[in-house]
Amino acid sequence: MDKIDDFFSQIDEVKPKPFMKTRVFQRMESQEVSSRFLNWNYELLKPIALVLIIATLNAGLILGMEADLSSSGSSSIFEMVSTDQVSTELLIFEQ
Amino acid sequence: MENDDLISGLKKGENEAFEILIEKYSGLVFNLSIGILRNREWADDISQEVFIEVFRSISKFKEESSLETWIYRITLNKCLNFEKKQKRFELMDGFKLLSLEKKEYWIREQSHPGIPEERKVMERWIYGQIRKLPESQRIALTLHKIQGMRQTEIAEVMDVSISAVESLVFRAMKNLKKMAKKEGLLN
Repeated sequence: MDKIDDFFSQIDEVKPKPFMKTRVFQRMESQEVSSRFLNWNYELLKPIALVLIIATLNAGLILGMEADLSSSGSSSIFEMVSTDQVSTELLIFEQ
Repeated sequence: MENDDLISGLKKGENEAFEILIEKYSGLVFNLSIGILRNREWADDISQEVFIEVFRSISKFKEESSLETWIYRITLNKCLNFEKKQKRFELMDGFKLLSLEKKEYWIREQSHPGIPEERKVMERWIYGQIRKLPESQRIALTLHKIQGMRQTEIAEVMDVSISAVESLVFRAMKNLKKMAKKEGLLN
């Protein structure tokens, strides 16, 4: 028998850690609990996600409208200022 | 409890049958896992996973093979998948991409507790070479030489003929001896 055969013939059996049963049951329970928790969270997340999407869309719409309003407002103010300035300059020139 | 009663009990979801199953097969499952993975923690985790898998998929067990063969197959698959995962994590560790928590679990020294201290150098060398063998040779060799299974049992687990198992073990041993000779380990 050579070294390799000899090596294989001398490998001893190893005993598993005690309480394998308990650990398997505990692991099964924790896996079930976590899967239940995930399912529960997923179910709960659906309406929350829907509300968030609607809220984001609404916020976007409101902001968009405000931006439109403010941009049109500012341009009219700008126009007013610039016509005033022109008219003042004209007045000075005329004097 | 006979295996037929055990299987029917498991199929009915009886806790007692499940407890008997673990008691009866924990040694077999753990020793096969440790023979491949050479780490107590990993072998223990795999063993637990195997029993959970058996419990969850017993309804799919068609009894075309023995319960023992079916459990062997599940264990083998779990160990091989674990090894693939472990190789990926070893690679990630090489690039320093592992978190400390993952590193602690996946990067460990492997040492079979059933091999005496004075043979640890030989163990590292032999397992290093076994890892390089083609998968079918590696499985056949591990089941036969480390697990001590008969070739008829291995043929069932691997779903090949007995002569195929014989040839796989022969070629694996030949390759190992060739490599050992090359490195002067057989003198």
